[in-house]
Amino acid sequence: MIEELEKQIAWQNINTSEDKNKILTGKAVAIESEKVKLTNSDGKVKEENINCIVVNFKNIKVIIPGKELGIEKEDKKSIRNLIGSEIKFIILESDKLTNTAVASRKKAMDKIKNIQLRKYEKGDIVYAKVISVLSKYVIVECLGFDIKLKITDLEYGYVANLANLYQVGDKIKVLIKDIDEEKNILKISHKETKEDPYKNIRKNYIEGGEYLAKVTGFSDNRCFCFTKSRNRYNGNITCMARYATASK
Amino acid sequence: MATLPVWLDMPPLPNDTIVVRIKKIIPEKRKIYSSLLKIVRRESINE
Repeated sequence: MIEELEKQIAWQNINTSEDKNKILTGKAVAIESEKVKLTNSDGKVKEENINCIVVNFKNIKVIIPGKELGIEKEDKKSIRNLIGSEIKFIILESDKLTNTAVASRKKAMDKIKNIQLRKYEKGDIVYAKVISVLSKYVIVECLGFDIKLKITDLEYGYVANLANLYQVGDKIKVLIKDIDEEKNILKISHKETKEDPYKNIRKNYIEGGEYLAKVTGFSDNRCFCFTKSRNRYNGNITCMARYATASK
Repeated sequence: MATLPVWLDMPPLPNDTIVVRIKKIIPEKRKIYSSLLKIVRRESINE
C-alpha cells in the first residue's frame, strides 16, 4: 500500500516536471548505450549508439542522453565521472508502462543559471556540490555551472591526491571571483574562503623547532609533508623535509 | 639515486607520521625547508 502510494507520488513528480519544468534530483547509477534512429538534414535515417546515464528516481529509470548532460565531452570516460553523484534533471518524455523516462540535465542547469546568477555578485560566498573527484581536480556544481577546480583553487599546500580530501556529494564553500550573466561566466575558488596559513607562518612555526608532520608525497631525496602546530594550530602547512643526501 | 642515512632503512612514504626540524622559512616564496628527524608511525606498512 505504502509502496503504491510512493510510486504514485513519484509519477506525479515526473508528470509535473514534464509539464511545468520542475527540477528533480536522483542518483546516477549506471551508464548504458542506447541505439537510436537519427534523421539527417538530407532525410537519411541512420542508427547510432548514444551513451546515456541512468538515474534512479524513486525506482523509476530515468535516462539522460550524453547530449543532454551539459558536459564538455560526451564520451564514456567523462560520463563515468558523474556516476554516484546526485544529478538534477527535467523530464522530457515519460512512459508509465515501462517505468522509464527520458530527461535533460542541461535544461535543469540552464533553469538554475537563469534563476541564481542574478542573485549573486563578485565576492559573495556560496555553496558548491562536489560531483566528481579525480586525483588532480574536482568538478563541482555551482549555480547551474559545472566547474573544474584544480588543486591550486582548493588548497594552499601540496596535495598528492584530492580523493583523500574530497568525496562525491561534499558541499564546499566557494568565493565568487567573477560572475557575468550575459557572458555566462562564473569563476570560483574554495581556497580563498579559508585563511592563508602562510600569512602568519612565523607566529606558528619557528626556525629550529621540531614538529609532528604527516607525509603526503616524496621525491628522490625529499618528502613532502604537512605539519600541524599543536598549540597554535592555524591550518596545514606543506613543507619539504630532506631525508637523504643526493649522490652525484 | 639518493643515499639514505644509516638509521633510516626505508624512505618515509605517504601517510607516515614523522618529526621534522624546520630549518628555513621563506614566507614570500611560501616555502619551508626542514629535515627528517624521526619516523613516529609507519602507516604505509600497516596498509
